[in-house]
Amino acid sequence: MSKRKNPSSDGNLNHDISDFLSELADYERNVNRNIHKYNAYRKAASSISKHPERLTSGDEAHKLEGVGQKISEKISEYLSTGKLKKLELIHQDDTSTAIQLLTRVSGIGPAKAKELVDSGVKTIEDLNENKDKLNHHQLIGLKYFSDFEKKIPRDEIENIEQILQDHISALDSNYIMTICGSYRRGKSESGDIDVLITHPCFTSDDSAKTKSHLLRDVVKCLRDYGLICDTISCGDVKFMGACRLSTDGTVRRLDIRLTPHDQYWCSILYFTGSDMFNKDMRTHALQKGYTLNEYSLRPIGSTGVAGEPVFLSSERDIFDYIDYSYKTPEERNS
Amino acid sequence: MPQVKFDRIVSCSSEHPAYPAKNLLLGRDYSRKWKCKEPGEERISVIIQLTQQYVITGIDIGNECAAFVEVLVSRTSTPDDFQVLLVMSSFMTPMDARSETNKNRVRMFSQKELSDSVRQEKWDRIKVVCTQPFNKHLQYGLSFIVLHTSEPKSESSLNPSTPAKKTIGRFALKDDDNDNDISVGSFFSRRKDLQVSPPRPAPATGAAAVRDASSPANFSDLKGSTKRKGSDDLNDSQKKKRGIPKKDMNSTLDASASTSASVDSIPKTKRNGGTPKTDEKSQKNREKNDDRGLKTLPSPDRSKIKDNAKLHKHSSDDDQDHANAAPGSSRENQSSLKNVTYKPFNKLFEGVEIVISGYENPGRGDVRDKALAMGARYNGNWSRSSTHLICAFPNTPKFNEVQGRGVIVIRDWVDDCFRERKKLSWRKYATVVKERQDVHDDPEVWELVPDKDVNNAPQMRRNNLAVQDTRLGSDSEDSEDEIEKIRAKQKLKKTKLENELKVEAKEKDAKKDSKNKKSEVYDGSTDVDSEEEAKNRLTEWSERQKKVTKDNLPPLPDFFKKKTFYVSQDLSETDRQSVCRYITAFGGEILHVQDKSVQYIISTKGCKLPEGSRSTCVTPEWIWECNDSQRLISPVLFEIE
Repeated sequence: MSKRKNPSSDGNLNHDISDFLSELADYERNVNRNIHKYNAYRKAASSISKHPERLTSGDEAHKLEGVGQKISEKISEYLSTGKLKKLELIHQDDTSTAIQLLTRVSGIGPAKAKELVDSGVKTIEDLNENKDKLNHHQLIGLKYFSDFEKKIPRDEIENIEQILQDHISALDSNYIMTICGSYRRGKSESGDIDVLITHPCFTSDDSAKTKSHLLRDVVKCLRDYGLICDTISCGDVKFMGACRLSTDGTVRRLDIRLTPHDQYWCSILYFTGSDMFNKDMRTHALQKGYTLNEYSLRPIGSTGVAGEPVFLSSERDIFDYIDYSYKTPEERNS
Repeated sequence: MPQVKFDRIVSCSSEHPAYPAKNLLLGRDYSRKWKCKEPGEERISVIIQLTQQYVITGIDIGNECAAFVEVLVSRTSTPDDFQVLLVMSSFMTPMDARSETNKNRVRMFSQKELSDSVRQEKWDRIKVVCTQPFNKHLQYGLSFIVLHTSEPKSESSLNPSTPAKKTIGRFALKDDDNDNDISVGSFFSRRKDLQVSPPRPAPATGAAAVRDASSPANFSDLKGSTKRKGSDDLNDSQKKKRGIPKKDMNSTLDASASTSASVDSIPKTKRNGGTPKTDEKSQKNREKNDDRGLKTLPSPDRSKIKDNAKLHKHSSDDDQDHANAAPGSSRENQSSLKNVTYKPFNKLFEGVEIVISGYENPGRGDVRDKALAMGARYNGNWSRSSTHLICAFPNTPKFNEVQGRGVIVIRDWVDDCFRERKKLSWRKYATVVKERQDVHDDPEVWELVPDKDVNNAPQMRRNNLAVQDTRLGSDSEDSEDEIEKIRAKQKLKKTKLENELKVEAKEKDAKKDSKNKKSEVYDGSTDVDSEEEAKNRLTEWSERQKKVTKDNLPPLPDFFKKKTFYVSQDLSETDRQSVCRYITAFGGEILHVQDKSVQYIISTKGCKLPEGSRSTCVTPEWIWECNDSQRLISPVLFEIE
């Protein structure tokens, strides 16, 4: 999962507003570790970024979904003074900025960042001197810190997709592979690469242990080819690591997930996102009496017990079941 | 796996009048559906009480247009505390629902698909919840639901080989055999065949026979094991007429033809009777004759079964139209007599356990109920205790299973036994035609009719004119049609004579008729499966019975008994015939000379009464009116001065 999930600034007349709201969101998550405030800011930022006109007042913003009293006041303040007092204070606070910085390292979350800052580690240089405080994942995050910060251009992912496709189908033509995430949603650049693979011989009835070779074979093949340059972790169904197209190219975060064949469509939907879209869709599913997650779509029984996963033969079937008008991946960016 | 028995429907959120929830009690063999009242209902549910607490180890569900079905369980002590046994399971996709395809998918859930914590415990109440969110125009529900339990069984499998169960994912596949026996429920019958089949205790009650309440034949049978010998009287001719117990189109047609012929011939017989018969004995004989012609049940003064030899003589003498009787049949009958034991009707089939194969409903239920009425037990599958397989044709799966282990006969055996009220030798009824033999190594059991009962027999006869006609074959439906035909005919004749004053009465009559017909449609006797159901039906039937009697259908009372009639020559020929028929039907006696013994003179013009005569001269309308009311009404209004 990429570290930054902020609304795109393309064609967004209010991107400055949604940017500062996203910054506040990150602050709430990373420093205060208040996930609900984080969600509130993100929701506000998302709906403002979709607003087709330039906002001129806080009251105007207040009418938008997800923008309440406090956020509209902040927008008022920003629009009238050009700055936000709260944000200024955060920027002046060393601890806050340090925590925000450290959480940008892959593998370091708000808790770890707070712990590090409390122990006096406040910069990337400090981290390099205190590698004993980091685990394997964090070390790789640190090692490729500057690379992972860089966005991945779409054409680079297209190249990687081609390589993956060739090698995986050479391994076994029954594999099915999709790159999800923002790439599938048509974004011009992405934070990381999310690959989803499945194989018809692997269904949810099988223990993942018995089919783990499916993923290991793929990873081994890609490592032998030289695409995968580092492994953060590799379990039965999930590989996390780093890849690069050439030895001197930028190193990218790569996740590969193996999913049971019968859960493939729900997984694709989930990992395509966006996370805000997923939230909407799940809420809608609940209203229609279903529960939706990355594994399955299940009807909810009369006593609230989720039912048997329904059979799906495409991503569109999920929309069909919950009576939600189909949205192409490109339409799921909100 | 034994089947869980349903007790009753506790409640249901919605049901269509034609597809009530109680249909689910009938079980899988009947595929009688439960549907919601209005299309597009959001969620429908039904709560079913089980006969006792069960550990439920499997559920079979036949869908009817529902998208999802959920099964919950609870106990009578905490009736609202439902826990999920089978989670919401999919039966139709949105695509199916919109295109209205795959509406009747059947899914079978084994124990491991049921909720972990719940399946270990015992429950006595289930709730089934169905939804159909995808198509608001579908009236949905269930075709059937069957629960299985693991209660210990007393016997081991008789199946020589139990094929390994094939599965795809979570779905059990049925065994792929090339069997042509695709009838309702056959799939499940066969599924059960593959498993252990427990003996189902079948209480030896005649309750099941109530299903045929609408059929006059059985109607009368139910009336009592006390009184009847009529069918026995007919035995000889029956035996002659039935070469082999096989029904075909021609014989049925013949039967109906001869039935109407014999009905038509009654008045003629009367008229041709010549001089008035006051002689007690000859009258008795004549009555017998009439009854035979009318195909009604016997009047109380019938000879007893033990007068068999006499009756036999009687029938061969009098029934000239039965001349096609097979030679030697009387000898056969006599010889079989040596083998006979007597038992009450409801114990004729004592010790018999039947299994049915290849017959579809309603015939299947019919056979079963007849057998149960005679004291047989019924088992869904062949077990060690089974004795007879009632099998339509060779090569059904059950046939193959049973061959060499038990008796395999066609349903005519049961039908004929029921009709003749005796357990006949099965030999002539073997399903395999080659094995049919006319030997009597199988002892017959005849109905025991205590003498005193004969005298106490109710003074009621049934208006089942055609039912006793043996040539009609076994199907009571045919008889029913026949009766309808005859009744329609009677009505037509009557209508011709009805004057304006009778219009009202006629309308009333018509109403009754339609009412009766309607009740026949809905109370049809086709779909009973379990013994419990049969018992339920018994209560239903006895209630209906009261109503039917009140509605004066179809009982035919003896209200003209011991009355003497003279039919005047001034009546038209058709009137005369009708009058004679009605008088005879209601037990009256027609004299052919107008003398002092005559009580009623039927005339249109009036007539000169002899000095000191107690005769009353009445119009034919009085007869019609008596028939309409089914009782003796006062002749005052119809008297002719």
